[in-house]
Amino acid sequence: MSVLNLIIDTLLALLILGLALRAVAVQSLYQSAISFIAFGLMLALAWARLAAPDVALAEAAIGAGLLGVLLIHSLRDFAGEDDGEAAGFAIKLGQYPRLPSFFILLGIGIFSGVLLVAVLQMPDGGGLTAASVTALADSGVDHPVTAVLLNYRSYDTWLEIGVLVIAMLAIFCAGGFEGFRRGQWRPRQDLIIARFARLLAPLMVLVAGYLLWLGKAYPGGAFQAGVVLGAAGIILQMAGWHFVEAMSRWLWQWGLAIGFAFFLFAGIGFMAFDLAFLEYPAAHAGILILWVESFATLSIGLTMTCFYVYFTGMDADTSAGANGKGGAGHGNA
Amino acid sequence: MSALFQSSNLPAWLVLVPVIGGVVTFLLPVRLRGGVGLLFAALTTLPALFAGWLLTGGTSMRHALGGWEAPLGIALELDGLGAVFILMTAVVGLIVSIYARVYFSTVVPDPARASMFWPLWLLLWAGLNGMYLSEDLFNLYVVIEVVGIAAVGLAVLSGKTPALVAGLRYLIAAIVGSMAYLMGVALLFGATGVLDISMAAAALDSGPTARTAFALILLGLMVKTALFPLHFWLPPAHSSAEPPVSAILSALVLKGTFYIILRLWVEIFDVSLSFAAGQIVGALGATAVIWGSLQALRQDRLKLVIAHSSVAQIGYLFLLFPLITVPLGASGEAEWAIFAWTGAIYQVLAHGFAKAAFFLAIGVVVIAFGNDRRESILNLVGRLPMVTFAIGLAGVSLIGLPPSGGFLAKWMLLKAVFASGQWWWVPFILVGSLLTAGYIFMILRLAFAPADKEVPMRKVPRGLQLCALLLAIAAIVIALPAEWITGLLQGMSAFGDPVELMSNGGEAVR
Repeated sequence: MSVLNLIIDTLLALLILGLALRAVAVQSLYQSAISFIAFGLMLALAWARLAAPDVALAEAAIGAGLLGVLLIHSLRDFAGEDDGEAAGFAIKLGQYPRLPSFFILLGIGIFSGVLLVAVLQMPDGGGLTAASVTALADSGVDHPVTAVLLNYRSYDTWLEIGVLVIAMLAIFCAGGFEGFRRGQWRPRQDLIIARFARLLAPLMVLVAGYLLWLGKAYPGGAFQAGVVLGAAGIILQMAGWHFVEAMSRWLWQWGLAIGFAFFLFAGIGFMAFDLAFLEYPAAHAGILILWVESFATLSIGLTMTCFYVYFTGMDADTSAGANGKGGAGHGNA
Repeated sequence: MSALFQSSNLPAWLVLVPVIGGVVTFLLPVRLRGGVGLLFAALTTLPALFAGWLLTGGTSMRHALGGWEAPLGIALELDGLGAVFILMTAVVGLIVSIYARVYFSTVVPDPARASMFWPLWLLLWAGLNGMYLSEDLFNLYVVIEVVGIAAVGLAVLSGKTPALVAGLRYLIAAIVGSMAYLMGVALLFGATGVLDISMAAAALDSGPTARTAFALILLGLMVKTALFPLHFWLPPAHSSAEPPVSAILSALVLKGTFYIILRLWVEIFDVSLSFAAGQIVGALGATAVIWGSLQALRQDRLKLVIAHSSVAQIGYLFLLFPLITVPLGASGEAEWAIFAWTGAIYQVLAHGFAKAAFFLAIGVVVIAFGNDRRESILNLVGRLPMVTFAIGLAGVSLIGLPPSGGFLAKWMLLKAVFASGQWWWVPFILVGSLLTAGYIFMILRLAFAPADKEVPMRKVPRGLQLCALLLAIAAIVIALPAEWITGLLQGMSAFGDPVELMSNGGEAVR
């Protein structure tokens, strides 16, 4: 079977390289975006082949799913609202200073060569797998990856959730608050989309909850669950249930921040009992981690949906533009 | 309650106070954000001052996050070098926050958008403190992301088209930089099996993996620190942002990644560093000094002059590396390293204060006259004397005239250059100072020149002018507590003899 595995892996690696090259080199932006989405899916497969299903899930959902939706939506702007000529848009070559492709290839070749040597000559450092399994008993969970993410190195995870909040704030800064002003609660009459959303969204919420619960003992956890929840939110929005716009400003601000804030709260809480920041007493670690993950899932899901709502809301009315008067909007409570 | 604030928790509070401020200001209604944000800025300086006071004896303190010691967990470590950077961030940060409070509440028409400044700025501040404390290679990547994305958000705060275009460039440069850094960290983790900096240093052998990791990490961080020729994103991003934001980006954000380079250079990569590595980085720094200054001379808009000046002043920082990288196999420590260290640290401080003062002062000019073109500051001395004074003082420090902090920096660098026999850096330092004098005096000449007809001037709140002046004064008087600052550096074992020597007044003790 190992020969078959080798063939599959080689094909996958070549496919990834080819798709990456195509995404960069192809003239039409539309094809470039499609290649990039396919590239994300193949990358997810590669992670699955490397026995990292949790990374694969995140890569597929974010790299291919969310990014794909945003890319294709952005392309609409280039083509204009009505002419539907998205596929016809190409970067004008003269617009950007371009090195002759020979030098680009040479540069990539040298870079890859150096990296290859560095990887092949790498001394075996051993890693921390054994240590993280040994410490599992005190971590409150049964899966080493979850233990690393939410206990041993929870500081990193906490800050990464913070990065999501910061990214959302940065997007507000770039675009003002116009993105949240459009759209009412009006389910689409389109039978297929409406049915599809009705069928899929509850199922995805269920899957998200399952993934969250699964993280204690198997690959899964807050990020995967959050991403699936976010996808459910995007599908609902697409079908016309504009629940994000229907939320009050107060509600969505808390929704975006609660994952980060609760993590912070749980981390500081035990400092009063002589423990370090983010240190949980071993007896309560399991339940605390589940709470932290639950709030993180909510925030991650809402953030993903907000990314989508914000961008699609922005370009729904291009005449308002990004520089309009942001004073009204949701921001003024 | 006392357990909560015991001194071993200090490193954690340095990150936590601004984070709490960031979350609270985000959740508050728009009209409350400014006041509460300023309150948290003041609160954030408290642990920083406490750190400076506590470390005066020359110790360091460690906080194992989550109760997990390395290699499994992440440690925050507060030492002398970090404390100096944290203190500078606190002083500049507090004054810029006061300026921002006044600026955004009186000058900016769109309060909802402007209020986004507070959560982003406080989270960025937390990220900077996190950089100065982190003992973990991957955690450094995470805080680089925190700082990078918050900085891009702040840079586009005005929402105007030039800022958005520059911000996109900034974002791309920032992401390329952190990707390169992450690749280097992946190689290091593969080769050593740990992420803790001191453990990785102990386990790392010289070889192609270490060299490639070093090159990737250095390259990534050089993009973020805007070292020539990777500075292309800086002038548009820094010059199109709101004044308090420009001050933060130029004075503080650039220093964060410089600190990481410095730390990793002396703690991890000394095994695979050759004389040539130091010389190459030094050459880039020297070129930056000349190139940035020449570009600054050619600009028509004052903000662009100051932004290009940052490219030059950052170049000086990188002259430290050839001076502390002695050829492998050379016997003994480099005795001149004390001067090089003092010079570089003082360059960080002097540039931090002077550049922040400059951007705040130009911000006042823009409010008053509506633009920052050179001609608009004719007779500035008669109309906004306090701002002219601030520009003059900050200029003195940038040029390196005595008795400013900038003078101490350049004087110490020159001393180290001569003592080490690397005389070829001398012309770059001197010509750089001359060119700096060129663009500073160009500004001052215009400020003192009589105007043919007075352009109408908008009234500027006095507080704004005072903030710029305070920072400019700080850039001068920073030279006074030199002994205390070198004393702070004393306790750092990783920096070894040079710092010990420095605190002994330059006398070799062994």
